[in-house]
Parts: sequence; C-alpha cells; structure tokens
Amino acid sequence: MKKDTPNKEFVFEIKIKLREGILDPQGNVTYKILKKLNYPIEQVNFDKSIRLTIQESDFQKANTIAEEIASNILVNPVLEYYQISQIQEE
Amino acid sequence: MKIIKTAVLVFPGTSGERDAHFALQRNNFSVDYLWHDFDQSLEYDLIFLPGGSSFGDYLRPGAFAKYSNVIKSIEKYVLQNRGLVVGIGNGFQILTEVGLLPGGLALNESNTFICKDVLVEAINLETPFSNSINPDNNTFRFSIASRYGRYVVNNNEIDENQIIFKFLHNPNGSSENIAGIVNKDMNVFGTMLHIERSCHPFLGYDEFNPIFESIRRYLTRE
Repeated sequence: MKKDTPNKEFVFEIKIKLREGILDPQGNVTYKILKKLNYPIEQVNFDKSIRLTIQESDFQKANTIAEEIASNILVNPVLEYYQISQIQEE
Repeated sequence: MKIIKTAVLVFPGTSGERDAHFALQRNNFSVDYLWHDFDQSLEYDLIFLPGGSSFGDYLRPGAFAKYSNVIKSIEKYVLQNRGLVVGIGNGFQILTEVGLLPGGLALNESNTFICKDVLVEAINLETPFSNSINPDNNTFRFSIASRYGRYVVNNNEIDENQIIFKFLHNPNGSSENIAGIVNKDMNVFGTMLHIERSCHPFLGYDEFNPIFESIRRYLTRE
C-alpha cells in the first residue's frame, strides 16, 4: 500500500504588517531621522517577518497549513494583516 | 461576611501575581493561585489575570496564553456567567487576544515603556466593577506600567456603555482616551491600570479601592 509521506520541506515567509490607520511609532521615529538626514523618504513601516519550514508531501497541503497558522495564530486581526510567500522547496 | 473565592492566574512569565494576591487579601478576598495548566476555574467567584509577560510576550503580548488549558476553562466560565473576570496589564492583553474583550493593545505612541501615575475618570458607574463609585468623586489615580498599552478599537466594535474609565490626559495614544472596558455581558473587565497597586497607604495610594469594593458589592448582593 502506498502511503502519502510528508517527505518534502517547504519554507514560507509570513510578513505581518500593521493595518492602515494603526500608528507605527517605530516607523514614524525612523522616518523623522531619515528625513533629517535629507533622504527622499516618504514612509517607513516596521513589519514582522516569520519563516515557517513545513514538512508535507506537496505544496498545496503545505500552503494550506501555512495559511492556517498565519491567520489563526500569528496575526491579531484587530491590528495586523499578513502576506505569505514561498521562499524555498527542498 | 460572605467569602469571595478568587483565583489569580499564573502563566510562565507572569510577574504581578503576588501584588494581586496582596491586594485581594487586603480587601478580604480569599485567594488561590491557579497555574495555567489547570482548568478548574469554574468554582471561583472571581478570576484575576495579573500583569507580567506571559510566555515571554513573544509574538505579541498575551498571544500565546490563549492556548492554555485555564483559558479554555475561563471561556466556559464567562459563557455560563459563573462570576467576574478581571484582567490587568498583560491580563488585559490576554483577554483581548482570546476575544473575551474587543479591540487590541498596540505599542505606545511614544514607542517607550511608560511607568507612571495617571488620572482617570469613571464614566459608567452601572457595572459590577464600578457600582460603588460616587458620581461626585469619580476621578482616580492609578499607575500604568506597559509598553504595549495603547488600546485600539473600532467604534463599531464597542458600545459607549462598555467604557468604564477614560484617561484625563491620554498617556499612550489609546483610542478615545479609553482606560478600562467591559464586555457586552459586563462580566469581564480589562484595563492597563494597575488597580491592584492601589490598596495601601504605604504604596502611596488610598486604602479604599473603588473597583474591589464594587466587585465585592456585586458578588455579595442578595
């Protein structure tokens, strides 16, 4: 009997960003300093980046798991949203 | 006098449990510590989530505490209206992460840890947590000590009567100057104000704590 073994590793990057309208004090302070140094800066945002390495048999399954972890656990939907991207497959 | 049984929840990284214990005992509550792995909260009249940094505050303050056994039990406790729940500082952050209270706590506007006394005004005196406050004497001084203390909420997520306290001078950029809120059923209270530090003249505060007094009145009512 052939078993569907999770023999591949997929690496996802989850970028967590503050929702529009939620003040980003670290971004604001950095923006002011860069402006003071005469850089042509319009905006600075501090995001979080989390990498997940997931063992699964195919990309679809791994992606579903990564989505589930990001939306249910890693993000507080009141303040944040996320973007997910695959960065590596081994 | 009826004994009010209180559980002070302790997570790895909680640091305010002894302050809470001291304050509750001084106000004649009977107090047990309840470790986060246990799920027997239902027998208590009052659940107190103290301040600190549960699970190191990794990811976000309060984010990981919601997966503890004790929190599953508290969700049941609130649903069945077994008693009252109070969350202070990190405890408040946990309650918003769990979804028992609306909104969330973000980094202070100043991007710094703020530790100081603030003045707040009680604006809803008809809750289990504020029923003993005199409308002619509704301004109080409490301490705050937090970096993620900026309360953020959308107007459509909270009703006006859910706001118990407002800052007189907003210290951290909280929405609408909100300093303390309850849920819709008014059995869960959350605030970044360290109400438990206000219980003894030695600590620089009055002996009288309006919130503990209100809770007692509510829980011992006939």
